[in-house]
Amino acid sequence: MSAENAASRELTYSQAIQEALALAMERDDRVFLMGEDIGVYGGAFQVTGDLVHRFGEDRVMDTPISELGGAGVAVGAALLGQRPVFEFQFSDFAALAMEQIVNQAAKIRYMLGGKASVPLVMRFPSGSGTGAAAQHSQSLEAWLAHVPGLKVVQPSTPHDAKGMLLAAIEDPDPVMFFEHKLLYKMKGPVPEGYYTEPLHEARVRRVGDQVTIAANSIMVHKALDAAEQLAAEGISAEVIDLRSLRPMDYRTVIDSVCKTTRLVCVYEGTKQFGIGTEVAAAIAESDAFDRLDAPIVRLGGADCPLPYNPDLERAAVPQVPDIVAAVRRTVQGGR
Amino acid sequence: MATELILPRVDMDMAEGKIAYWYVKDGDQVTKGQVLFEIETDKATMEVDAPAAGIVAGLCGEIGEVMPVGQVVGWILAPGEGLPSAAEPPVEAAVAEGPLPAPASVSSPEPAPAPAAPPVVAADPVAAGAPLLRATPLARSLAREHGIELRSLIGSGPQGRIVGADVPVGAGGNRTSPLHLHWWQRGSGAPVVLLHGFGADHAGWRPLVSLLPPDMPLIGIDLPNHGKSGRLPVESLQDLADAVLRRLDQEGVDRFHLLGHSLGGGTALAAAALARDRVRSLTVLAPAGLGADIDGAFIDGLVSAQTESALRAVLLRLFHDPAVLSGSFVATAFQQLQAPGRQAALAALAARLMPAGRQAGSAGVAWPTLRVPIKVVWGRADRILPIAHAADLPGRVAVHLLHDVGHLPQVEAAGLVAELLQQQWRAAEAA
Repeated sequence: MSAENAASRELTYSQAIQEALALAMERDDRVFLMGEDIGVYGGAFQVTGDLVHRFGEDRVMDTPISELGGAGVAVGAALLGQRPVFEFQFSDFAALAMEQIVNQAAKIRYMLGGKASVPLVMRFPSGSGTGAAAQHSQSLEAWLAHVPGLKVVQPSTPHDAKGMLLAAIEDPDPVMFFEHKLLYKMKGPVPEGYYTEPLHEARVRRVGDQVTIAANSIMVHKALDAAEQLAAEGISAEVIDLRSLRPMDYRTVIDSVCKTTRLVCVYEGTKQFGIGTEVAAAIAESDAFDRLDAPIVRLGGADCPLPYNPDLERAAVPQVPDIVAAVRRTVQGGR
Repeated sequence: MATELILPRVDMDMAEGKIAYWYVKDGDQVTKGQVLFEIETDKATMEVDAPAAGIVAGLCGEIGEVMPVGQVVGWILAPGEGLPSAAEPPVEAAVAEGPLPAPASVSSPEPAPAPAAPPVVAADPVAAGAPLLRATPLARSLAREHGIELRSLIGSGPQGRIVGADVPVGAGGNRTSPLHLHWWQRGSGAPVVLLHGFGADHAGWRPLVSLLPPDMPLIGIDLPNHGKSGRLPVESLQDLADAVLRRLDQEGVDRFHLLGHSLGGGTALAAAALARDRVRSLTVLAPAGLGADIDGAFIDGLVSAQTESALRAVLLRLFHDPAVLSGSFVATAFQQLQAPGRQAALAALAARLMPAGRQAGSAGVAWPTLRVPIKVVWGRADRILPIAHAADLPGRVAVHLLHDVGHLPQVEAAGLVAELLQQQWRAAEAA
């Protein structure tokens, strides 16, 4: 995991996160990690790995099985000037810590007139596809994106995972950092050393001119696969990686839709009241409205608790053929 | 304000009813609550009262006629007030919104409502005020910018929705020459302009072109809504001809010969009528525009085929000899038709030119004024356009009726068509 590799190298998404955590701890004594089984066990998804041996138990702290208690300690530590990074085993357990996240971390700067801040990072392994059933597979980022006072980001590549995590740890306010479980093993180029990526910018991952696909997290990769297939049919799709949900980079999506005239939003969370719902509404309100040449389409998760059965689980979230079909229909005029 | 009289729902499971008796007639003054008519359902007969005071007008439900619940059967007007325009829905709107004409039972993934069903004027007063015009925000803003009346356009989108490409300004494209023109070969003398049939494009002439001498100048043009050409609202063969002539103007082609097939044949005839001084000779293969009959099932099948095998079955109708229909012909045609919006654009065109399996317009040729060599070539086994349309042509027109040839003489009798075209061209160029 260290700098003994060559300059141009590939890391997995989870290696990139671990490297960011190590770099941050090396650079800043205030940074420490908290979470259930993140020490000797190395974390539910082995993201913290052997960091406890490098940095000791005071900086890689196993917490009791109480998300609310752990989150409370993290918020308090941040208030007193530390830089805690709190790992949830599954993002689903955010439900247990909502009081600390929503009513405390998000509000304190504002309720104390800016005299205090909560420089806290919470990491959420999220998403379906692991056969972990309804309580361990959700994509709840929209919950937290609804709360003013939080920042919510969802890097989709190892490169962004490292750079955005370092930026999140530097940030003076609470940052909710969502990691899709199926991305952990994905490899990609990751620069050596310390660097940050902005927490408020989307990225255009593929340039196209007939339709914009706005996607987050793992859906970016499915959208890119779909765009490749569509290109073979002569359909040119632009793929936008939202990266940050709050603040959202509306301008990048608006500019893209002004060019392409069509929008398909792809996200794994429940379709209703979801990330794509926000993007669609923002576009309808924007100066892109007069450029729309087809109804906006939202392709989100099914309106049901995620099934345990793997076939049903797959069917409950957008897959590449679903994206291909939705984009094709949109380019052909919509419903 | 005018008040609608609608056929009301008087019991839970009532979908339609009929008027059993009218107590009033157009022009009668009525008071609110006065009995206007009786309706009869499966179960009962009920009286319907006037919802407002005023003058009864526009009554349209015949006694005994079965109508859907919600149907407007008349109006109550204030003194001096006229009937709302929706009382007589414009035909144009019905076309723009309505299903494609479905003359035969060709399978379609989204079954269109049966054309026979009477249009239900919604009970919603907003909808009743004007027929719904479907257009995307982009189409609306383009039309606004360029001062184009949306109602003059044909929507190629679902349910006739007007999309940006339907507004004849293009999105940043060439606004004045929307038709794609291709010089097959250049040479000396006036060029022959090749005009393809419905659903085809200029590339379809390739086999014929290969049989023509290399010094014969040949131009292919993609008709509006075909091939690489843009979308244009087209109401008639004359509109097609007009677009072709404008494109030739832009190309600086003053004098030319015309070779047209089917829809392109009708276009060629109309172009010859519109610009007879510019035409050196006229050759048409199984042309449209000479009569009303057409194989509507073919047209419908072409615009609705969703699989290659479905399209194959449709295309077989083009040929006398089914063996001529190659797999690559089907695959190429299928690929063309699957281009985004293509089938919808063709359906919109068909709805104007060939509604309900009939040709709507004529090529409008005044034969005595056309003093150039004219040939009409028709396959005797043509199942798309009947050879009978060639029967009444005047004596100056040479009519060639080909045995064992279907709707594509340029394919099934390519050698002969090439020979006839050369005769035309050489005779006219020598003159």
